[in-house]
Parts: sequence; structure tokens; C-alpha cells
Amino acid sequence: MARAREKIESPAPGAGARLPPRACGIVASPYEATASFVAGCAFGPEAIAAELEAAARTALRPGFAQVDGWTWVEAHHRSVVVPDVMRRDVGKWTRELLGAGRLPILVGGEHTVTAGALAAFDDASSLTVVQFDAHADLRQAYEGTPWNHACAMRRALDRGHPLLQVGIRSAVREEIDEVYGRGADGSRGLLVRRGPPPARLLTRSGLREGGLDDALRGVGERIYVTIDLDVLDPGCAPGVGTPEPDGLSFWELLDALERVLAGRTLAGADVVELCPARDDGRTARLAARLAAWLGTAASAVER
Amino acid sequence: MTDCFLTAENPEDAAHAWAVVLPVPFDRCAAKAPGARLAPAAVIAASQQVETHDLEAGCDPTVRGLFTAPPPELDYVTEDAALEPIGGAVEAHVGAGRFALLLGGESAVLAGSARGLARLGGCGVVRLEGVLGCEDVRHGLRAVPRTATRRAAELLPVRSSGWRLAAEGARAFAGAKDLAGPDARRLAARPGATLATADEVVAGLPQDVWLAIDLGVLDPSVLPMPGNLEPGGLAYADLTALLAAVFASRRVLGAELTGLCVPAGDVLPAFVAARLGLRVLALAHRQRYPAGADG
Ligand SMILES: [Mn+2]
Repeated sequence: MARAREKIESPAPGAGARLPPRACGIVASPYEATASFVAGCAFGPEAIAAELEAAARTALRPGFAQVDGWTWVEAHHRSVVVPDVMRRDVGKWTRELLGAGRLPILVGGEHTVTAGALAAFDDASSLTVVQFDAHADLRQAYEGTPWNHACAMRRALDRGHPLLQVGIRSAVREEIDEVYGRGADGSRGLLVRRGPPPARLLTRSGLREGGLDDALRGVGERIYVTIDLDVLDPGCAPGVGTPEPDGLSFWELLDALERVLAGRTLAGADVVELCPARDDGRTARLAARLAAWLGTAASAVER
Repeated sequence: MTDCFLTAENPEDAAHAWAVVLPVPFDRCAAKAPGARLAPAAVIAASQQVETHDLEAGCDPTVRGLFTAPPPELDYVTEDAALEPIGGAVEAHVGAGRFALLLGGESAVLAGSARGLARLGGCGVVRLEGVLGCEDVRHGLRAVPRTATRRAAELLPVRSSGWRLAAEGARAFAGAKDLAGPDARRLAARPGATLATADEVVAGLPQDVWLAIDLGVLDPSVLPMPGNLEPGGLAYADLTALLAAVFASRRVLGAELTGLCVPAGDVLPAFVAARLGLRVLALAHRQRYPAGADG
């Protein structure tokens, strides 16, 4: 896997042929400044890179396009822990990819990196962020900074992005009160905020009980998908910094992604919070599969 | 680092709390592997990472005051001396109307909490454990996980469910005394399976119950820890659905969460235990304060 390529135009080694018209590009952001439980997600992109080529070469299941012409850009060095620098660099490379007609797929790094990719999109109100996560990530600030990974989706709302949160099973009261209104009750499975910007939170139980279609009602045509790997069950994705029990299975996640993408356009995506220190290799492989799937299958999903 | 479960600090005293957390590092003769004495501290440490608004229960059980008591002095010279402080603490707090969450320790702590509950006039015990717990004596000891159901049953009506290990004699005894609820196979959700209902888990028990949850009831894929190797345990969602159903049909006076064996270097088991503790407290909170959940 080529790293730190200087120009988006360069095809990855081995790709050989011309880039497919809707090829994707990977922006790696080994950014870790606020992980508070288990550190190590700065090494996530490296682990994903090691798995990505295999994942890209082999179809996940029949009918899905294989990936040619991967471009891998390391947006900044691992030593960067200043959020402004990370956002500037991730934003810059994401914008480059968009300009070259590529679908940007960001791999983290902590969830804060999403803010960098979103900075590349000017029309926030027409780009819905669809978040798969165990945690709501809606805090105004945490541990002294608004750029904590526990604030990632609050920052997306700040930019004006409509938000759909899926699979959430961890939150604090203040963030729910502030975003969804005082006393908002998740025990019914779905929280709704009228906005602007509008937001919806589908709890883990709400998803299990078939609430996704209801939650998707009214979600816009253009979407940005952000996948925090801790949305998955620690049994299939142990390599995350904040593992939470009762997560999704891999197929449950892919099924949900397909439903989200059906009839919509994927404008960008990210896969974040891989923590190789807690991994035995399977979470890195899974993250690579997801990145490859988002980069290819997204365009193959029935419209 | 705080010594308080889920919170940064205690209220002034237990009287200012609706619920009390009792760490009980009881570790005498575990069914699986030793290490339960380290569990309360590990669970409390992990709980600092738990976000305390329980979305499914719709409340934050820390808001009305949660008091974490210091661990009782356990004297292992005799079984009585080790169990009595546990019973005493449960009796004091439940007797004062507080919800009690006991953090074990191995599941034999039930032999202690049952004493306190019996002195308060009694209640039923809903036990969820990987082992049925109906043996009489093991290694010459009367209060160990494999005898805990039987010890409690000497004092209170008990039903033990979710088990996937039971000695033949224990099964016969449980059958004769009607102590065995549905086993793990009948409680674990899977396609096409006919599942036992929560009614079967609480059948025959009075309206007031104590909930004795041993983490060994969970599958090793959910709770990878030394000694939890037996296949066929419950999924996390199986267990939480069962807990919700128990709370829907009975008044729960308190609960114990036992059987965590802290493995070196993995944060997950203690974190799962802390999360379950939050869920139990949140369900209890919703039961006591049904409207305006945590205001
Ligand atoms: Mn997140």
C-alpha cells in the first residue's frame, strides 16, 4: 500500500490501469489526542493499510465490484495532536479528492477526524451525517476541549449538518437534553429533534426492533457516513478504545448501511477509532472491509 | 481516582442517596478461577468510563444520589464471620428503603445477603448464574458458588435460571425443591428457538425480589475472562431483556453482581460489569420514579 502520496492523480502501485470513473481515495488521519480509556488509535490507519489491499482485491461477497486504483493519502503525521492542524490537513486532502472526482473515505484515528472531512463540504445543510456508533458523541465539550472524540457529532450539528445516529447505547444526560430536549426518553427507541439542523437518534434496541426505516424517513439524498467501530459488538470488533457490550454484528451493520444508502448518494465516509492495541487483527481486517465496501459497494447498491 | 461507582463523589451520606453500592471483595473458593476479590475495585475504576444516562431505561440513576459504601471487613476465620457483615450491610440499607447494589465477589455472597434479607422478613431471589448452585458442600465449604442457590433456599424462596452447568445431585435437589428455572438454552435467543418467558424465571416467587446476577451467566464471547469458558451462555441483550422483564413483573429490592474474575490487561470484563450495574440501577430507578425519570 502506497503511503503519503503527494498527488491525488497518482494511481496506487499495482492498480496499473486507468482509474475507474468513481474511484475512491483513502485519507488516513492517525490523529489521537483525547482517547480517555485505552489509547492507541493513532496506529489505526497503519493497521488498516496492512489489511486494505487484501480486502480490496477480494470481493466481500459475489456481485460487488473489486477495487482498482486506490489512492492512499496520509493527511498528517501521527505526532499531530493539535485539532486545528488535523482539521486543516484532513480537510485539504478530502477537498483534493472531491476535486478529482473521487469518493473520499477517511480512516482514523479518533472520531474527532470526522470534523476534518466535513470541513471539505460547503453545503452542510444538504449533507446528512449518518453516524454508526455506540456513543452519542454529542457533548458540547469534554475534558476541556470541544475537539474531544465525545463531541464529534455535536461539531457536525454546529456546522449545520442534519444528523442520523444509529445503534447508540451510551450517553450522558446533558448531551441528550441539550440536543433532543429536556427529558427526551430513549426507552422508546427513537429520539427526534426538529432542528435546525434536524437530528434523530435510533438506540441500539430501536435498531434491533426494526426502527431503521422509521428513523430514515425524511433523511436527505446526500449523505456522509461515519462509522465508529465501537458500534460493533466487542465480540467481533474488540480492537476499539471504548468497547461497549451489546453491539451490532458485522452483517447487521452491512444490512443497515445498505438500507441507509438505498436511493441516496454517498458523498464521503469514514471508519474511525480502530485501536490495534486491543486487537488481534480481526478488527483491522473488518475496518479494511468496511472501507473497501464503502469505496466500492456504495456505488453498487441498488438505487 | 474516585472510590465511587459511576460518580465522582458520594453524597454526604447514604441517607442522601436513593441507592447504595456495596463493594464486597468476597473470594473464598470460586467455581471458576480466583480473582473475585479484585473485582469491586476494578468495576468501580471501569465505571468511571461509563456514560451514566441509560438510554434504554430512559434515566440517569446517579442524579438522585448514589452512595458507594466502603467494603465491609470480611473475616474468613469462619464462614459465619465472612458472611455476616454482608448480611448486615444488606439488611441495613434495604431495611432503610434504599436500593442496594452489591458488587461481588464471587456468587457465594448470596449466602450472606440472604441472611440480611431473611431478617427483614424475606423476599424472593431471582438468581441468574452459569451454575445451578444446588450442591450442598464443596471442598468442605458450605458457602461457595456451587452451593449458593441451596444456601439461599434455606432462608428464602429462590429460583435459579440461565444455568448451563449443574451436577447431577444438584439437579435432583433443585427438582425436588423446585429451585431450577429455565436453563441457558431456553433463555438464549436464536432463530427458530422457543424461548422461556420471564414468567418462568420468577415463577412462584413473591412480589418483592432480590436479583442475584453472576456474570458467568454471560457467554464467553460477551465476557471473555479466565474461567468463563463454557459455551452457550446468554448474549448481553438476552440478559438485559430478561432483567427488564423481571423489573416489569416484580418489585426489586436490590441486586448483586458477582463472579467477575479480573484478567490481567483487559479492560472489557470489568467494563461490561460496570455497564450491567448501570442498567440494573437504571431499571430500579425507573421502577421507583416512573415519571420524570431523573429530575
Ligand atoms: Mn464515536
